[in-house]
Parts: sequence; structure tokens; C-alpha cells
Amino acid sequence: MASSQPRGGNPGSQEDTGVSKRKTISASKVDVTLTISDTAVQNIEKSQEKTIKAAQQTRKFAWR
Amino acid sequence: MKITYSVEQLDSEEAWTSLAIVLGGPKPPPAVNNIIRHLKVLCTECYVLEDRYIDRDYSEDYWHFYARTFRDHDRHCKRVHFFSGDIALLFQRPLSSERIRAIHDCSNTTYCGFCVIRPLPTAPIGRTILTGRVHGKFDMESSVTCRAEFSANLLGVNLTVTGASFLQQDARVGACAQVAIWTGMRHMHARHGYNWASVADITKFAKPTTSSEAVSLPAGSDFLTSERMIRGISEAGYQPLCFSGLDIGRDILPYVDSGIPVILGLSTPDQTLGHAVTVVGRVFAKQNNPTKDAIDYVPAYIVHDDQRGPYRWLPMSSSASNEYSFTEDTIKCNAPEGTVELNVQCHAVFAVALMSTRVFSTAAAAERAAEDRISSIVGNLQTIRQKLEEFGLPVNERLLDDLQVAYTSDQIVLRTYLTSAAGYRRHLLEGSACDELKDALLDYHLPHFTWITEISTIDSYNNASLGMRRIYGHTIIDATTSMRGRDDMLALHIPGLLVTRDINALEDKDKLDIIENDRLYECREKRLNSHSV
Repeated sequence: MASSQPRGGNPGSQEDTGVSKRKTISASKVDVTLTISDTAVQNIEKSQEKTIKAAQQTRKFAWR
Repeated sequence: MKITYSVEQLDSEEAWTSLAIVLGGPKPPPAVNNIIRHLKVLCTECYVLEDRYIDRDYSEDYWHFYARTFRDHDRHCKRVHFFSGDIALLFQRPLSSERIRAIHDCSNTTYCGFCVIRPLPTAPIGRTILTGRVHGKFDMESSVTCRAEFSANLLGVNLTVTGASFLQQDARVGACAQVAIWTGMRHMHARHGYNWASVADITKFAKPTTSSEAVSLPAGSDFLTSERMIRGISEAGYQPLCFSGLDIGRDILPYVDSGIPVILGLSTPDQTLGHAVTVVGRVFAKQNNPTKDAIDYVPAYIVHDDQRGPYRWLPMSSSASNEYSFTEDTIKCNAPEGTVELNVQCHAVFAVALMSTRVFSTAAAAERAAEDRISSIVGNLQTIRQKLEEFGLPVNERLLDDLQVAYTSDQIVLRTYLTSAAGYRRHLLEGSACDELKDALLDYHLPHFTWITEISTIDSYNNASLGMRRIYGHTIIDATTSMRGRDDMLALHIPGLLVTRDINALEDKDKLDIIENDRLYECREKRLNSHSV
């Protein structure tokens, strides 16, 4: 969540006006999303299962 | 009674030998010899012996153990301060404000740290903090990522040193496991304000709860099991995060890069009694045949070994040790087949990171999520660029071309680390990112902890020099969620484009900002003189 600083459309420079002239559009207009895919979520779950299995197979150790 | 101060020059081999005797007695243990080696790396020219000194850590051990023994033990320690300049003249009597000020001014540039000497002939090295500058070799850069600022007061002058705490194991009150945890916890205390804990406290936290754990007296002095270590860490107020299996070296890299202490359990084959060390940094080496795996650029970790000394190198594999000639600085142990040089690949069987209780996702999960979004966007850049042109929006042709080529030829390097919101902003502000990107991100509302994944290409990453490694962009992932949702990514930056998410928006959550005049910028590195988290 960015600050409430107005964006876009102001011809003045940032230094002159204190207003950003950055152009902003909705990411969906260019087919971009930050939503993580179902496949990635499943991969994360699978890798966690692998980690749990590896932990269960670990030999018992003591440290001195 | 007065405290005595004596200043000695380190201008000959005899002087260094005398220092070894001051630190470790007539037969100095390996830890002392390696402290001396490190002091030579720091170009130490003289030392000040402060006699008597009350050390809080030793006082705790004294209270819990030595005060209760029949044999007398001294309550007081000595402390040795090291300087890389000649300060002998400054200690001449009479002391004056002017002279004390001169010590202060001189120490700003020459103080290398201190070593507490306990009155214990078998384990004399107490709390020791030496500057965490590890010598590099050609095409290599060493970084002590778990470093914090510590201060020592000498004649009223506050001396500061940046490094990681070291302590020699005193087998009568604790094992290597407690000392390895102590090193990690002391870093977290000095750097992030976590509770102060002594070795005795850690032993208390790791109390035995099974018959196999309760077989030594005083309890915990002989060894700790992995379970007891985890219990001790948890009781002390951290979230222990454990690693095992064949990829420990790779798995712990994001945590080491984040400056999070990792306790590493090393064991030779067929042994169940191993040795624990604390990973406090890592070595970066330029590759002749570079790959896209960040771990391949790390030929060794830097560890504190309570038996062998501070800032030792633990090679990633036996071949890494041969390739980079680490020999003198590595950890060796005696095995039935002779002396064995330990390395991560063959000997690391267990690791535990000291995580904040406010972090709810792992580096592996964060990097997988980042990889998913980067692949989705960079893999679809052709279409995205066309659409941007249709909207009349500028496109950073050159850098996006580079990134697309690297993506299609499988040459994208990802590097993930945990940072605080303040640490992220500080790095962004001090770094070489373009002003427009800084303007877009410095006021972006972030959770206290985030996982950052930096996006480099093999060409931009494969540089031994700290300031030369460059990134094309990065992702920001909320580390305070469990990564079981799909809304955890907060921002993604690639050249000219910044996608940010308003997590509270009901629809149209993601915005795309056009970053004009965008450029490559520095990877985050933990420099010795930097205070960014």
C-alpha cells in the first residue's frame, strides 16, 4: 500500500511541485498479477512435506 | 586495589608468542593460536592487558558452578584489548583528560576488539569480540553477516568493535552446543535487543526431560542432544527452524545472508556424537563456470568454533577446499582414519536457525513464490511490452532485453534474504537504485519482516567485488504470513516496471508503476561498517 501522494498527469517536476509524475495503471491491464499460482502453492506444500520426511529420517545426534 | 594496565608491542615473533602465553598459558589451546592468526589478519600492533576485570559471563558460570566447588577459583578475569596502531604513549602517566581523549580518538580507527581471560587453566578464553574482517583471497570476498557493535570501557573511554562474540568451551559447565547457541543469542542480543543469556542460562533452558538426556553432571555439561538444543532455543524466546538432509548448505544460505545465526551440527560418518559450530558469515567467490544457483558462488561458510577459534572457514565441499586453498583456516578433527578436514557437504548433518517469533514463513517458500511470479512476468514480457506500447507507456528496452535473454537461456540468479522494513528502506535509500524507484518504494507500507528475492543474471552477479554485484529487480514477500495463501507477494520490480499490491483493496489490487530512467542497482551486502539489518 503506497502513500496517498497523488500520481500521474502532473506535468511539473517532482522537485518543483512535490508531486510524483510517475505513470500508474492497473496491472491487470497488461495481464500482470502478483497472485501466486496454484502450482506454486502446491510446490511449496510438497517441499514442506519433503522437509518433514527428511527431518523424520534424521539420525539421532548429540553435540559436545 | 587498582586495576593495572600494561601496554605491549607486537613487533616480533617473540612478542606474539608472549601474547599466546598471556591468553592461553604455557600450552595455548588451538583456539588461542587461531585468535593470534586472526589478530595478524587485523594487523594488530599492540595490546593493553587490563588486570583485574569482572566479566558478567564468567560471573554467571562462577555463581552456578565454581563458587560451589571445594577448590578455590578466582572470581576475577583479565581482559586484553587489541589495537592496530601504537598507542603506548597514550597510556603514559599521569592520565589526563587530554590523554584520555587521545585514546578515544586513536581507538576509533585502531581498536580491533578484546579477549577476556578467565582464571581457568583448561579453558582460559572467555568472551571475545574481534573485528569481523576476514581476509579474502583473489576473486573472493568474505562477509561476517552476523556482526554487531559491542563496546568495551577502558579508563572511561568507550571503545567499539564490530564482530561476532566468541567463547571457548569450558567442558565443566557446558558443551559445544551451549556455546554455539550462546554465540547466536549474543549476536541477537547485541544486534536486535533480544534477552541476554549466559551459557548457564542456556543449559537451564535446555533441561533434560528423558532418561537418555539425563546422563551427565552437572546436567548438560557433557553434551546436548538436538532435541535439547531446540528446547533451549525455544525456551529462550526464539523460533528454532531446523534443517537436515543432503542440502543443508543450500538451505541455510538465505538465513546466513540475512544475518541470522545458524547452529550447524558436524559429524563424521558412523558417529552419533558430533560437534556444533555457529555460522556467522559466508565467502563469495567469482566462478569460472558460473551457474544460476546462488549456493554455487559460496565455497565456504565462516564459523565460530568454540574449540578451534573464531572466524574459521568451513568449506562447502572437499573440492572447494582444494580449489581455494582454505587449508590453514579450516576445521580439522581427529577420526579413526586420521585427521579429517570438515566440510558442509560431507559432515553437516543438522542445522538450526534462531528465528524471530514474528516470522511465519521460510526462505524456501518465499523463493518458490518469487520464482513463480518472476517466471510468469518475465516469461510473458513480449506480450506485456506490446501492451505497454499500446498504452503509450515507455519501456526500458535495453535492460528488459537483457533480462529476457537471461530468462530464456536459464541464467537468472535468485538470492533470498529476510529483512526488516527499516533495514529494507535503509538499504534502498543508501543504494544505487534510481531515484524514481526510491520514490515509489521508500514510503511503501511493509510488515515488520519481509523476504526479499533479488533478481540478477549470471553476468551481473558473478563479481567478487562487493559493490559490483548488480540486480535487475527484486520481489518483496510478507514474512508474517504462513505462505499458504496466494496474496503474500507485496511488490515485484523489474527494469522500468514496479508492480505493487494493496492487500486491503477489494478488487484491482495490483498497480503497475512505470519507472523511467531505471537502472541496475547493488545487491544488498552486509558491510562491516554498515548498520543496515
